[in-house]
Amino acid sequence: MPAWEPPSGYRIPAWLRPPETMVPGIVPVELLLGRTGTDAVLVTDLRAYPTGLAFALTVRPRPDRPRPRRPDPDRSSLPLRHHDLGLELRFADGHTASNYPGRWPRSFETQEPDPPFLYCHGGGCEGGWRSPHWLWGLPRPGRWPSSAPGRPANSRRPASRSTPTWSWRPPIEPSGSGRPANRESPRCVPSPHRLGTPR
Amino acid sequence: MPTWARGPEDMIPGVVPGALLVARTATHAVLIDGLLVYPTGFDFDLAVRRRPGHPRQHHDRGHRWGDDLHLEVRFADGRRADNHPRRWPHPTGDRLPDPPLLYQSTSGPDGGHVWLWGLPPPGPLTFACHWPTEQIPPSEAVLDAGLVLAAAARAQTLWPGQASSP
Repeated sequence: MPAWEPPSGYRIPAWLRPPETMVPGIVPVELLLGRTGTDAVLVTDLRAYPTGLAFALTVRPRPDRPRPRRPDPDRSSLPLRHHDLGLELRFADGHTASNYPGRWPRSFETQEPDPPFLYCHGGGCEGGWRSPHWLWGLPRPGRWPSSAPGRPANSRRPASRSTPTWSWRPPIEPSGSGRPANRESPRCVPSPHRLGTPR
Repeated sequence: MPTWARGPEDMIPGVVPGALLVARTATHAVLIDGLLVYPTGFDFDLAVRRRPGHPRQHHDRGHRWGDDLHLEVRFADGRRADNHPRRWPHPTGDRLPDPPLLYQSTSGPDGGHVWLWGLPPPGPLTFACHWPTEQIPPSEAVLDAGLVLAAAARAQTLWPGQASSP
């Protein structure tokens, strides 16, 4: 038996995860957000649903450079420093969404936040660092402005390709509270000051 | 980790613009999702979705291979690879295993992450699965391998001019 089970009947709220009953539309884009002499930061695995956008914030260390064992005296291993990697999505109308928990509404676990809301939940290390993110609320059709290399994405169109996994269950609507989702184009911006410096 | 067991760290993969629904029963769906392609092979997620109201079952007995979701990938030329651990090679020296080789780095009740060493030839690329313990019968879905090969051609090196990755 598992060591812990959620309360009976508990379901993760729709604003904290992609819909479980849909096949996502794939956004065929890999975004390179930042690159130094030692690390590269990518946005990968973009999957669009009617309620939002799932993606992974990924760090790839340069493989031909030595990796410091203890880059921070307060940290015990290299991958842990990527916990500090900040990501902010900026919408054309001035709205922003950040993966910094200090900027999340205090009631985000029980009450639906205003979109856009960017939620991340942990990360893992497999040849680098990879942290799943979930953006609650879809952008409007348009291009993702980015100063980094990579083809611009239209994240609205793939959402329209999402299909229910079970035909008898209708897709979850974008906003259950009656508030319209923010549909402006987001902008991915890395926090370059947190990246390692070129060596 | 050997090069045949993962994608190159120093590349941006090409993305295959699609997800495959390989199996669907009244209680489960199995997806092939997140196909990321490199010149040496491709990554993907083997995703298990449960119909709401049908939580995962816990077995009292210990885990064994027969409990897992079986996956096989078939190339148009007849070559195939599956996720059975006994097929993982134990190469000696610098000798690389013959592709295709399917290496599932994570595995659990929600699926896992899979790396396939080797690119398919043009033609149909078949993903087949079955899962006896969850009553999922043999099922399959076909992808045009041209999508995978086109994505491989779009993969880019992150640090041009660097020494080859180990």
